[in-house]
Amino acid sequence: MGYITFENVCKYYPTGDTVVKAVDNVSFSIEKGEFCVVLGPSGAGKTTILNLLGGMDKATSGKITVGGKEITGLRGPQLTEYRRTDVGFVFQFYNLMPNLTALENVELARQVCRDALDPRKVMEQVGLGERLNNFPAQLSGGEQQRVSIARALCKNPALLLCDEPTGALDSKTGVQVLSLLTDVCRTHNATVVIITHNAMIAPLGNRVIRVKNGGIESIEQCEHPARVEDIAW
Amino acid sequence: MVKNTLRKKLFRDMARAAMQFLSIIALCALGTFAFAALDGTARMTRTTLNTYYEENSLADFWVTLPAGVDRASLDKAASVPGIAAVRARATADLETTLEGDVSVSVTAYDGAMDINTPLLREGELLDIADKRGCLVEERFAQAHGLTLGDRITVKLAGREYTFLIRGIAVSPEYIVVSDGIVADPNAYGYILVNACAMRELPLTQIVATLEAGADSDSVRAAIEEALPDALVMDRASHSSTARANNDAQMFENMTLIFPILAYAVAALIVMTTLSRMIDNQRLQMGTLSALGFSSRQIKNHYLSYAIAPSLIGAVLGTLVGHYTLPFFLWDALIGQNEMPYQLVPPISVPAWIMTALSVVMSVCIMLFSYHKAARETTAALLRPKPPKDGKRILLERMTFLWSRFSFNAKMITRNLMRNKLRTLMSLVGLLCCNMLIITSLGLQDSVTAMSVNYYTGTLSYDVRANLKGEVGTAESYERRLDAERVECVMEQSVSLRARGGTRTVRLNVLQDDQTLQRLGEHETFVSIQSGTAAVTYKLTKTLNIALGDTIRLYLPGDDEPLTLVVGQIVHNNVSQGVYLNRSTWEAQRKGDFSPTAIQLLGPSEGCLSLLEDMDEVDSIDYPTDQIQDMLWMLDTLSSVFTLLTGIALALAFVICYNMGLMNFVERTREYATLKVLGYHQKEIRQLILRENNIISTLGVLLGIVPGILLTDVILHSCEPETGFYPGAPTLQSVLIACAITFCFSFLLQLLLTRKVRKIDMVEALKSVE
Repeated sequence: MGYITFENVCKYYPTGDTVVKAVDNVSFSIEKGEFCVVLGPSGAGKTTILNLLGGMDKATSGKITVGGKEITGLRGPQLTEYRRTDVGFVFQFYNLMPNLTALENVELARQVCRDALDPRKVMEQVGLGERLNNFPAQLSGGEQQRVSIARALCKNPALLLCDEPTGALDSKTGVQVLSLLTDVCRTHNATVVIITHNAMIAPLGNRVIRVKNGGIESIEQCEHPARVEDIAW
Repeated sequence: MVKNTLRKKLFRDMARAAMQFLSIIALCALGTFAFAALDGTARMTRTTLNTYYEENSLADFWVTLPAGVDRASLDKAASVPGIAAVRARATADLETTLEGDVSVSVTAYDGAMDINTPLLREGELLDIADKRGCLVEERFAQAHGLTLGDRITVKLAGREYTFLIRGIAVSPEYIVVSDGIVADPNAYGYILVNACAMRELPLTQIVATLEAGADSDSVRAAIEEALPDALVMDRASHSSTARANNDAQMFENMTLIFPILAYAVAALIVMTTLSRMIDNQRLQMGTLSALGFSSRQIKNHYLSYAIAPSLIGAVLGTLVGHYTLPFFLWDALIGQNEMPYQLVPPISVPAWIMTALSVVMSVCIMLFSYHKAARETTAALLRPKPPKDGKRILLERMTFLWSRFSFNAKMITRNLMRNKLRTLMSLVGLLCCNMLIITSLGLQDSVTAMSVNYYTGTLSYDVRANLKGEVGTAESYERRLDAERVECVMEQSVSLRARGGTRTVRLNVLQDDQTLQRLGEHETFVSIQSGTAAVTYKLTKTLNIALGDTIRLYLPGDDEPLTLVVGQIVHNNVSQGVYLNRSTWEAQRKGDFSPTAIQLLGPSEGCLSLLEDMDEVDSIDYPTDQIQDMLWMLDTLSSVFTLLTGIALALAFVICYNMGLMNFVERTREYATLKVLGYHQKEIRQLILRENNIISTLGVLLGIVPGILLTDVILHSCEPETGFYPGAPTLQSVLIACAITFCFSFLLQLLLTRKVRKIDMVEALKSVE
């Protein structure tokens, strides 16, 4: 059994008389330490999968487990606890607090986490050792995304969830961010799940899950994924 | 077509931000409501009084001639330029044969009742030659169960006069019917008769009306010249008319500043909210512009944003304020005054101006915000506004302090500084609310303090017996009455003429060794110096009298004035007048020191019963009871204070809610992010609450001093000429006000932060809108 498992997971949104099936009967599993890419066009249900996995939304039916813990069975405060200790999030639009400096944004995560890493070290690790005291508005998009990654890493999470992490970036900075994420996967032995519609990123994954119309289209495993420098953007 | 779509957008926007629009409507309504309500009440009283005075020809002058009115004096008065009409008459307070100690003021009209014409409630007016009939005061008749056809008997010099009640009426010169502090129709009222029915009652008074446009003061001076031994009272010194006028004036002054401040606060918050709403719409503004809407169309669209809620709110506030509250406040305002009817004046011009101003200000701020945005290119509008930079704040430079702050404290401090406008507005809102609450409590404190200080401080005797008729000498009373101290006073109304004008005031002659009246500042004791007059502080201000000035006092029935130098200024917060000691009075050779009242400290039981048995004792006052009467009378004012507090609280509610909501709307994304990061709801709520508590505490603290100052300003503007309000809000009131404001703000935030639960985390992942 994998580190992450989805068993017959459904998520329906009732809208008036009809029901929108955002995720319909999805099952898959991801092993610990994998770099997993969930790929699909917009509206395919990939964000819903991420939301369910991150404990931000509740499944209509089915079972989700992470590291042996059943997420679907958790209630409000337990879900918060799960997000707090087990999951790190990287947002498409960074979601940094505009009135906190880069370092303070990372410290924000440490506030709620017991075994957090030293924010300064994490910032150095993502290559922003020199920009600690800058406010988000003074940083470029790529730098902001790296702060966002540092904020997620600081909690030393077993699972790193990234929603279109390169979506708002140009290709060059996108490559930097991706190589950072693959490094993290290797050095921290964290499981990384990336959600994207960009097929170029697919070759990087140990596992690529293609999603279409709320269901799984295919799951590929790859023993030796491509290196970031090699992928054509 | 295009127009319709925009209108649809307007309605949808309003529905989506319903609470924000509602709070704008509520704020506009509150601002105009307070003004319209208080202005309406004041005008209602004024209109009613003026109409009553006009229609029933209230006298402009009451001229008392102790020697009696004859043809010659009546002619003299009538020939004074500016006098329209004169009538002779007699008045006296007489005992009745009704159960209990009931007396009435009898006014005997000589000739037609065309000055101070009674307003008939039931029955008919008196025929000019009617020697048997009388008109009885409405409340008095009700209190004693008297109806048409009943008889009422009064006693004059041992003779009884019985009158047939032909009519139940009210008189314009008896708005206030009282021989003491409070009106008590069970014990005192008035009846109106023809002078021919009571020949034994001498005609001693002339009532006169002014010609239209004549100047009251100069005509008064002319009457005083024509009839030098007369005591002339104008409407400002006639006790009922003056008190009714003072009550109305006090209400007007007290309520003027308050609603204007409330209005200003409300306007401030409305403008902030509107401008923020427009700022938040900039992306849509850009989109509309990019789609090819003309700037005029867009401008009109956003103008509707401002006009609709402010117009609805302001008009609603004015209408509701004008047509509901005055009817509730009426009772409080008129108190025990006897009003003939209630006239509802139309909404006044100032009230309409306030209403229009609400809309105009909203439009202006809207245009300002719009033009600020319109200066940018469409392309710039389409890009989201760069998030406001976080900045280093001053505090951070004080490293030793800053490093002691917890992480959350740092975050909160930065937040407060980043959103300066919102912080400032919340601060100002809470500051003003606390100020207004302190003021409304403080006004009540001060009014209470005035009566308590007077009856327990200024007057330090236990009992006062008012004398009438054949009185003995001061020495005889001291001998006969068994008490710690017995002191006599001689009080009478005199006409005081000084450089600054003429007033009918009370002349108080006190014994040289008197100790029972404390006339120094703050109820301290000073003795009255011999050889000079002591004038009360407020009177020196009114008539511009300084130490060393010469004043003339005209006693009724004497055309030779007392001429005295002002040697002392004394303090009396309730009644203004002139004080002399007995030797000064006797040196003036204007008659003996003939007591009008006896003041007693620590009287024995026997002494009290002796007083009750003495023929010349007219009534006995106990200051402890008088405080109660006075407080009871002032209690009617408390509904006004309650209303003011209510308005301040409502304002606090809407402001706190509005600011809290604005905070929420603008930071939902941040809170959602925190939620995703694993912050518990409780932790997020605590963050918001702590931030709010800092603002609340600051606002509450900053509101204290303005509140105390405002109380002072309002008190001084509503002081009647005869009184003087001491003091400021008590510490207790200040603490209560602070606690109310703080708790209010806190509870509201507690309520608002429940919304944290509803924040959708998925929202945080979406793009910036």
